[in-house]
Formats: sequence, structure tokens, C-alpha cells
Amino acid sequence: MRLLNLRSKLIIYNILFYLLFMLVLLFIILQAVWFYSVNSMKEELLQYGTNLNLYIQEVTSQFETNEEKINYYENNSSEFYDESVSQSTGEVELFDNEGLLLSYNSNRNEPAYMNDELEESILTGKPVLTIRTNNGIREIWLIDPLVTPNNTVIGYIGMIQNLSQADNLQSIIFEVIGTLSVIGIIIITLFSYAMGQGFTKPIKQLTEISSHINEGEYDRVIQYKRNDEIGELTSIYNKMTQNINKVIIQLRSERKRLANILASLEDGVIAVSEDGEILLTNKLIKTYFDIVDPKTIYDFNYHKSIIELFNNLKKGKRNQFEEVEVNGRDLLITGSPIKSDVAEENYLIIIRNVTSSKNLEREQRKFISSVSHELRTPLTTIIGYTDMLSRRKVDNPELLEKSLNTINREGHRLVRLVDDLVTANTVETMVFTVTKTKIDLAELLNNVVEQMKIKSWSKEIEIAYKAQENLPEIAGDYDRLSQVFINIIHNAIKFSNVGGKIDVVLTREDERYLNISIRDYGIGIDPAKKDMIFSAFYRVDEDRARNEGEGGAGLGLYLVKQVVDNVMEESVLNLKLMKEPILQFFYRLKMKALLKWR
Amino acid sequence: MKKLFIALLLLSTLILTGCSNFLLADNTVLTIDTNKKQEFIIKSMNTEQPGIVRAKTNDNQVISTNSINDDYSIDLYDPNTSTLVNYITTDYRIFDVKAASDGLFYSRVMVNDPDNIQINWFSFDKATERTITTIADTPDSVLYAYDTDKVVYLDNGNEIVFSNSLGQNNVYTLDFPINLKEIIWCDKAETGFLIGNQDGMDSSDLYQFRINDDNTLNVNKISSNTLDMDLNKDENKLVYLSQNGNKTFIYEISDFKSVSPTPLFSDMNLERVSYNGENLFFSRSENRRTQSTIWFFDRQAQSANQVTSPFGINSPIIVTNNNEIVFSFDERTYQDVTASYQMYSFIANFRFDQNNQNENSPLQ
Repeated sequence: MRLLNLRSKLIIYNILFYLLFMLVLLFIILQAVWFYSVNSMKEELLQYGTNLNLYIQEVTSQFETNEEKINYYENNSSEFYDESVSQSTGEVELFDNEGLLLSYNSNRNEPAYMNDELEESILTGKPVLTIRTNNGIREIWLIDPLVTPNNTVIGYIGMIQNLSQADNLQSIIFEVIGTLSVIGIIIITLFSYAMGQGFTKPIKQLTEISSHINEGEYDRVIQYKRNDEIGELTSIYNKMTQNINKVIIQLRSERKRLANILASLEDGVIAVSEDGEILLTNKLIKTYFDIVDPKTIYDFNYHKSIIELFNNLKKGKRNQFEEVEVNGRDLLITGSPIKSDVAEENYLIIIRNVTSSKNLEREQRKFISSVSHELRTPLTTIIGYTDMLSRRKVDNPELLEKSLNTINREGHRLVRLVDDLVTANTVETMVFTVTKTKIDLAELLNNVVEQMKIKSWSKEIEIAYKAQENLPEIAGDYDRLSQVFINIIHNAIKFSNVGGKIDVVLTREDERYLNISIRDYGIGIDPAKKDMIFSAFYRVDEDRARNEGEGGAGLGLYLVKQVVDNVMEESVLNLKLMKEPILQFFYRLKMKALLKWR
Repeated sequence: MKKLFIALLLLSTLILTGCSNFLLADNTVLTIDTNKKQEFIIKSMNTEQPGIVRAKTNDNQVISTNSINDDYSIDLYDPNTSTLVNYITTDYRIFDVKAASDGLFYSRVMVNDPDNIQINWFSFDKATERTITTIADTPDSVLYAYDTDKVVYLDNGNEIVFSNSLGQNNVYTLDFPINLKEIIWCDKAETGFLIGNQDGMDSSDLYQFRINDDNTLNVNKISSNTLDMDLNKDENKLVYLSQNGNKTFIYEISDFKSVSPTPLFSDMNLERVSYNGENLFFSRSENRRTQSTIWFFDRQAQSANQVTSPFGINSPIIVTNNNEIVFSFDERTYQDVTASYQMYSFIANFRFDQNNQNENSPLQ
């Protein structure tokens, strides 16, 4: 946890340095003041000594010998004491040349004992000085030899001067320095605070912007215009963020491109790391496996095949694949290691939806099965009858006629089956041409109805046709449209009861659409099988369909749907299975045609 | 930061525990190395004669004045014999006395006119005494005598007057009035010097003056804050004291034409200077008791040595040719049992011998 921020540290450091400086200054000043005071006092005391010395010399100049001078000095020490006291402001003591006290301040109870100083002065013959403390007051004690002109020591003068002035001065200095220190600390604090602002502001900006960058905002810029070290740092930082921003934008662009590529893939993709962490998926994974945002391969725990494949890849097995059914889809899962320059190994699992191809296979198998069955049935009949005719002489003309009719009928049925198969193949391969012309749909339907009445008479089914007048023309292929309506009406006839009715109605629905309704009142379609009626070879009632005179192969509505969906232009004809509101579980066929030319 | 704290702590402890005498420890006896050398040995000292020293005569006698009660006297003091010979006695206050070779000039209060000053001539043979002029009352009425019987003084505040014993005057007018403190005329160089302050000024300045061919005065200011001066007539050298800040400098002018002062010495509280050409003496006031000491300036060593103990010097320092200095000093003398003091002035006559002692010789 951070205890002190940079600004606080700056302030504290400045204060401490300032205090240290002031203490050093105080120390130096105190030493200097003390030294100067003592030195000045020393000089003054020495001057007093010199003055007295000269005075003594002047007074004793009348004497010839040193002894006379010494005697005179000792005998008149009080006079000399008075003289020296008149000069000095401190205490004075006079000593003889052996250090014995001659005169001192009679107001004192006892003289000051300057024995140490005397000893030293007697020994060296020079003035000596000591700093002493007396009752808490510091004093300077000085002993100065009194000499004759020929350097004979007459005696000694001792002077004591208190240094209270120096002490007072030191106290004043303490107070002044102390006050200056306090004022200085305040100024330093304010100045450091302000100065710190200049230092910490760009750093805070750096921090803030780094935080934003961390959250993904790479377009932030630090505003700092000064040309100093921080300015350099911020300039480089700004360039760095700009570069990062560019790289991020590039990466995002590439990622988006990659995501688009992945999204546009028709296969599901899972990139997984060696330890099972999902590196990458696309949305088809959700579609196929109903798993949202998987983190690890083990999220696919309900799809063991995936995990098994992953484990096999981990074991070093290459190019694994497996076909599974998931949620109604046939999926082909393949896995392989991802080639990489780095040591780590990742794996790529591709999931391909092979449902349609599987369905196609199934349809093909079913088709072949149906075709073979459809082919076999009439062929078996034809072979049966021809075999019978060839092996037995048939005298019964009725039997012979029946046999020949049956052979003929089954033959025609085979031809129709082949025709239907060819048409279905043509539709699927889209090899036939479409000729678009303006079509009067009312006329077309009328022709189709007249054509189909021939077939409906056999079951006494009435086809009622009603068309709205003054309908506009549409664009389309006359033959293909005719084929479509023929197949639908044919289907209606097949599934209507004898004596039933088929209504064919042509109306205008709106500005863009014509409505064609072909409604029968027959057995209807089971709702459960409504989606299957347009499938190839689908017949609701196999036996009924086959035993009917026509005997369809189940391709009629399949062909209609193929033509409508694949051959006609989009939205020219929409084929819908409209729910009859009255008969709720039966469906009627209804079509809408787009008015292409207006 | 930790080191900083420790440094602060140590320094604070050092200071607060009273280490202010770091360089001078308590209770430690320190020997003071002094290189005192006594240049002169006092051979004799005489302070018995009363009077105020005024000037020196050509034959090394000292002129002094004295006053007792209401009597004023001009005396001649012989430093050799330390005797005083009365010369002139008068009832009127005497201001200044200066000696020419044949006699002396003195200024005194004028009879019956205390606002004016009378300048008198008195020949040493006592044959002649006359009043040569009257001047307006000026402080101290300073005179300077030269030649046999000539004197120069200031009149009317701005007129420099040259007179002789016959009272013949030559007057030269200054451009500004001045309160004269001292005046000197060097006849050989035909140049003079005066110290005075103009009205409104606190300090006195040193001026050099010359007489132009057209009898006008040419005056140049040489120095400010000038306290005293002295002329060595034989060598035409002037020394003067000039104060600069809290120090006083002794300057010497050797060339009166170019007048480029040379600093010789400086110290605090210098008051008066005396120059006999060879030896230079000056007085320095001691702060206590307003007394002064006399010092000798060693030109070779460029150092000064104290010569006398403190005296209340109240006169110029006269240096004779015989290693004598003569001056007068004030002394308070206990007058009577009622503890009153009276100031007396005495002439101090110091005779010195050169100190030939080896400065390193041990004490005896």
C-alpha cells in the first residue's frame, strides 16, 4: 500500500533538506558568533592587559632596576588595581610574579581561583584564556603577564569577563533562525506543493491515460508542452500509445476480417489449445451444438465424439474424423493439428454439415428404390402377361384383350414414368430453357381446365373455373406454367371422390399479385404430412395411387415445386399450402402469381 | 529519507546540547600566541606640569596654554628639562597659539567685545607684542604660523588671511563658507591645506588651496570625513586621517602638485596623527572612559605598536626630534571630601629608547 505519494515525498524531502540547511546554518552561525565574541573579548582583555602593562611601565620608569619596579608594583597594587578596573568592565585580579594574589574585587566574598591559568601563563610566559561557566553564565578568564620593557615579569593581571552578550546574541540567533525556519517551512511547503503539481500532474495524466489504455481507449493523448524530461517522456508515451492504437486497430481489423471469414465459413470451426482451452470458434458451433461461448473443449461434454477426437489428437493421431448426428443434423467432424512455428501445439476441429448430402444420398437411395420398384411393377406385369401369352396359347379373346390392354397400359405407364424421371432430372440439372412471354393467365387457366375436364369426366368430377375480368398480363413461360397447373389439377382429380368438385378461381389480390385457388373437396392432406407432399416419390396412399387408372410415381407435386422454385423467376409464383379456415386440419393448395409487367 | 532524519537528529542534538563552543572548549586553558613587540622603551615620563599642548617651536620647545581660575597663560615647555616657563598671561580666554621662528601668534577673546577674536603677535625676545588683526568669532579660531613671523587664519567664515607680525594682510576668498578645524600652509610648496565643514555638513573635509597668479584661490577637495592632519615641513609631506565606514585611514601626500594620497595604515577609532618626517604617531580612542592611547606606526614593518597607556588626550601629539612625544591630557582629580571632581590638564612628556631586545628572548 502506498503511504506517501510523490508530491508528499517532495514536500517532506524539501522540508527536511531545508531544516538540515537551517540547522547547518545555525550551527555555523552559532560557532562563528561564539568564536567571534570570544575572540573580540579576548582582544579587548589583552588590550586592557597591555594598557595596564604600559601604565605600570610608565609609572615605574623612574626606577632603574627590575626589582625596584617589582617592589613598586607589589606595594602599589591597589593603585594599579584601581587603574585596571577603571579600564575594564569585568572582574580584575592582580597577581605578583609568582602568582600570588595581590588585589581583587573587595565586594566579592572570595576571589576567583585562576590557578590553572596562572600555572600555564607562568610556564609559557604568554597570555592564557579559559572559558568557564559560573552560576550558569559563561565567562572568559584571561591571565596576561605584566612585563618590564626588557621582558621581566612584574606580575600578572587576571581578567574575568562574562559572555552574556554572546549568549544573548546566540539566543537571538536561535529565535531568528527558528522563526525563519518556520516561515521557510511554510514557504517551502507551499512552493513544493505548487512545484509538485508541475511534476505530478503529467505523471497523473500518464497514470490516468494508462488506465484508459488498459480499458481499451487507445486514442488518449497527454497534453504537456514543456521541453523537459517529463515532456520527453510524455512525447514518447504519446507516440507509444499512437503506435499501440494503430496496432490495435490493425489487429481489430484483422480480427474482424478473421471473424467475417469464420462467419462466412459454411463449416463450424473450433481451435483448441493443447490443454483444451478454446482459442477460437465460429457461430455455427452454437447452431450445431447449442453451446454458447465455450471456454474449454470439455464444455462439449454432451458430445463425446468431439472430446474423443481431441484426445486422439493429443495422443498424436493425425487427421481424425467422425460422422455423428447432432440435433437432427448429420455432421462430419475432422481434426488436425495446427502447424505453428512455436513449440505449443494447437488443434483445429472442423464440423461440416453433411445433412443435405446425406439426405441426397437417402433421396437417391429412395429414388433408386422407388424407381426400381416402379419400374419393376409394370415390367413384372408386362413380363407376366407376355410370358403367359408366349407360353400358353390363349384362345379366350377376352383374356387376350385384357392381357394386351394391361401390357399396353403398363407400357404407357413406364413411358410416363420415364418422362417424369427425365423431367425431374431436367429440372434438377436446370438444363432446359425458359421462354418468357406475356401471358394472359385467365386464358391459360381456361385452356388447362378444358384439357383436364377430359380426365375429370371419368370420375364425374366437375371442374368449376371462374376468372376475374380485365386482369393484367404476367410474365412467364407458358408451357411451364401450364404444366404446373395441369399437375395440380391432376392431383386434385386424383384425390377427389367420384362426383366431386374442383374449384379453380383466378382473382386479383392487390397491385402486385394475382391469386389462383385450386380447391378440391376430396380426402385432403394429413397435417402431419403436409411438408412431404412436395417430396419426390411421395404418395399419401401408395396402393390407391398405384391402383388408380393413372398410377402416378409421386413426382407430380414435386415437379410443380421444382419448376416454381427453381425455374420460374423468384416470386413469379409462390406456392403455398393454405390452411382452410373451416376444415382446420385439411389443407388446400393456393398459389399467387407476381404481376411482373405493368 | 532515513539518512536525512538521522543527520537532522544528530545535528539537532549537537546544537541543542550546547556545542556552540565547538571550536573553543569549556574549561580548557588555551595559550594565546601574541607577537607583541615593544618598539619603544619608556625611558622617562613626566606628567606633572599643567597645561594644554598647542604647538612646537623650531627649537623643539612646546607651547602650551593653561588656565587657572580666570587667568590664561601661554607657556613654553622644555621637554628636555620638563620645565615650564610662563610667557604670556592674560585675563582673556586664549583659543589657539602657534609659533613662528621669531615669535608666536595667539588668538584670544577681544577686549570688551566677546563676539570678536583678536590675533596677537608676541616675539620670543619679548620685545614686541601687538594685535595684528581682529577676526569674527569662529570656533577655536585656528591659526597656523610659519616662516619667521607669518600666520594664516580664516576670517568671516570664507576668507583666508595671510598676515605678518606687522599686521599686513593678504586676503583670499573661498567660494564657500567653512567652519575651520585646522589649517596648514606649506610656504615652500606654496600650498595650503585646511580641514573644515561647510554649513549643514556633519563631517569635515580636507581641502588643498593655492594662490593663483591672479591672486585668486584655487581650492580642491582632497578627502571627506577628515579628522586630523600634520605637515612635515622639512620633507613637504602631509599626513591626514580620513574615516571610511568604521575604519580610519592614515594617508600621506608626498607630491603636493599631483596630490595622490597613499594609504599607510588603517584601524578603528583613530583620532589624531603626528608626523615628524621619520616617525608617525597617532592616537586611538579606547571605548572605555573616552581615553586614548598613542601608537607608533612602523613604516617598514607596516604595523603599529602601542606606545602609551590610555590618557584623556586633549591636544595634538608633539613629536620632538629627541624621541620624545609631548601631549596634554585631562585628568580628573579628586578635589575634596565632598567627592567632587575637577578636570585638570597635564602635559605628558614621554622619552623613549628604541627597544633592542630580541623579541624571542625569554621572560626574566
